[in-house]
Amino acid sequence: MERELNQDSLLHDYTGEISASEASLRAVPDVDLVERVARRDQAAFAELYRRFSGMLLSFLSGLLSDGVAAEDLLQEVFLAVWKGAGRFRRMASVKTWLFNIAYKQGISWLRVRRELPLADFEHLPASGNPEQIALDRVDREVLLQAFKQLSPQHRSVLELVLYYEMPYAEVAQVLECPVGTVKSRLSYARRQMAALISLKGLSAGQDR
Amino acid sequence: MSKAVNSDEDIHGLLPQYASGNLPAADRQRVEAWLEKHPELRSEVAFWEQLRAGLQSQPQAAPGQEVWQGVSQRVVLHQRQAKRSAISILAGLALAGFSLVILWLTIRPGVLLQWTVSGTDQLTYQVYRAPTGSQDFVLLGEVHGTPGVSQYSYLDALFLPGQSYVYRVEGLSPSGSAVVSQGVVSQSLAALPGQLAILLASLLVGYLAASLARNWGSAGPGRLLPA
Repeated sequence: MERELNQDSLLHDYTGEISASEASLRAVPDVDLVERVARRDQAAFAELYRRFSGMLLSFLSGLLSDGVAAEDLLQEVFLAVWKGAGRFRRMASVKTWLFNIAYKQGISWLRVRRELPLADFEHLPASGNPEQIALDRVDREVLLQAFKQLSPQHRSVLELVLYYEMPYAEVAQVLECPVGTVKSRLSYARRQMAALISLKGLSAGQDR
Repeated sequence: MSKAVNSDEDIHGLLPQYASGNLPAADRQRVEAWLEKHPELRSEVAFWEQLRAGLQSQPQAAPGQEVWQGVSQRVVLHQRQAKRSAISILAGLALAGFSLVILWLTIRPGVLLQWTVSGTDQLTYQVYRAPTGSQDFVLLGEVHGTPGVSQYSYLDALFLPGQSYVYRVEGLSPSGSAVVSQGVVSQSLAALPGQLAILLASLLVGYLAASLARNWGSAGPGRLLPA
C-alpha cells in the first residue's frame, strides 16, 4: 500500500533547513529525479520544483500575460508532473518535458478564455518591407513592446530559443510541431515585429 | 557528411539560435563564414541579439511560498482522491459480485425442467442437452429420486444466450433399465431476460456503492490545511 503523503513533510522538504538528504539531491540529474518522483519520492519532487518552478513561472507569465493565472497554472503543472512522472520517457529532456506540460496547460487556458487569436495580425497591412526598417537600431523598449503584441505562440517560440536557449529540436518537442514550423514562426515573428514597429512609427530610424 | 548551408533560407533559420549562442560548432562556423560574405545579414543577427538582451533584462518571476503550498495541497488531495477512488471501485466490484451470487441463487434464472413420475421405482434421472437440430446430447447432471416424491426439477442456467436446446431426461432404475423422456425444446432467449436483469441489477448495486464510497467523507480541501 502506498504510504500516505504528508503535506507537512512536503512543505518541510522545500522550505526547511537543508538536510543532508536534500543536499545530496542537489547533485542528482534531472531524469533521475523524475524517476524518483514516479516512485512517489517527495524530496525529489520538492527538488524538481526548486530547480524548475522559477523558469516555468516566468514562461507561463509570458505566455498568459497574467501573473496570478500563471501561478495557478504552475501548480497544475506540478500536479501533472506528480501524476505523470511514470510516463516520462528519457528520450526527451526533463526541461523539454516540463515546458511541454506548461505550454499545453497555458494554451488550453488561453483557449478557454478565447484569448488565442485564430490568425495573427490579419489586420496589419502586408506592405512595409521589414528589411527597410533598421530593426537592429530600434530601442530595446520598443522592441519589447512589439514583442508583447505578438501572439502567445510566437512569443513562446522566441522566448524558448532566445531566452531559454533551447535547440530547435527541443522547441519543436515543447510545442509539438515540426522543426520547420519553429523556424517559420521565428521568421514570421520577426516580420510581424517589424510591421508593428513601422505601423506605429516606433522605429528609431523613422524618428530621425 | 554534414549538410552544407547553401541558401539564404537556411541561414535565416539558424540566425536566432546563433544569436542565442547555443548553435553547434559546425553550424556556427558555417553561419560565420556566410556572414563574412553577406555582411548585410549582420543587422538581422543584431536584431536577435537585441531582442535576446531585452528578454533577459525583463524581471523574472519567482514563485512565492504559497505557490508551493498550493502544489502540496493539490498533490495531497489528488493522492487521497486516488486512494478513495481505488477503494470505492474495489468496494463496488465486491458488492456487485456479492449481489450477483445472491440474486442468482435466489432467482435462479435459466431453463427449469420439471417432471412428474408415477411409478414407485427409485430412479436416478439423468438430464441431457443438445443444441436444437443436432443429436449431440451431453449429460448435464443427475437428479437422484427419493421414495414418495413424484415431482422433480432441474435448472440449467449455463448456456449460450440465444441458443435453443433440446432436453431429454433419462430415468435409470437400479437394475440398469432406462426410461427415456421425450425431448423438450427450450425457447431460445427463454432465460435471457432474467439473467440480464440480474446482471444489470448487480452492476447497478456495485456502481451505486462505488459512487457512495467515493463521495462519502469527501469534505473538500479545507480539511487538508494544517491547523
